[in-house]
Amino acid sequence: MSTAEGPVAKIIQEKLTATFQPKHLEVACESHLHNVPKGAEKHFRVQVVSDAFEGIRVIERHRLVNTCLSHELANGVHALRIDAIPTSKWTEGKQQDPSPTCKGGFGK
Amino acid sequence: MLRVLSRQAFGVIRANYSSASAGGQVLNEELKKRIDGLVKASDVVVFMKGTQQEPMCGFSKNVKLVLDFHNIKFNDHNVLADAELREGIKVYSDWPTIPQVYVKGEFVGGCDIMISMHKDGEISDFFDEKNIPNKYGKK
Repeated sequence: MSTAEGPVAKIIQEKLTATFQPKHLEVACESHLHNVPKGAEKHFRVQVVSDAFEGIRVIERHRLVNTCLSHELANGVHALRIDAIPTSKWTEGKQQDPSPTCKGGFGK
Repeated sequence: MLRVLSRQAFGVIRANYSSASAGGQVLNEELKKRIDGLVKASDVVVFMKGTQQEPMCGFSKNVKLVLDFHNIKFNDHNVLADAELREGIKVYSDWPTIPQVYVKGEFVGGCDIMISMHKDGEISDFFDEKNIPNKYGKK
């Protein structure tokens, strides 16, 4: 997990906070695990716990997050792992699963 | 040389869309028809990076592993070999990332959703409902 927060990570955090007023939020850049230049902010993992996700299907929860971050997704971020949990289903300390290993992608 | 080539390729892709950003883009009719054909050609279709024999992305590989685990046959389309499809499918599905899974012509989700359905034991029920044979479902 990246400990330094880049500008894109900060924007993602702000947007998710403003849109979902989350009870719990984690934003992690994972580009260091992928086949991209150092310092790239192209792969993120987000865990959002919010009342906004109550009573809607998982695909709709993901679409809400995609819409919130549509600008970032259209401008550089090309992988986004989403864990969108309704508050009623949240267990304190529940970790998001680790991301799968990169298999090289487009770069060789 | 590579930079010139990729700029040309980008020009072709740009020509298919009416605006620069992913949100609010419109597909040209030909590309839309092509993708319509692809998603309807088989019960389960996956747009992925790499192929099901050789996935080129951990997220795409995970989708393939879930489907393989449940013995679900699918058509795969390698977006790394088709830049027009790579961008087109994101507009078509209104979904920003790859991989993308279609079942009976309907978009189901990406890696996170397939994994979460698998872990919650929902895959069998889902494919049973769609009348698609799967290893742990009703026969």
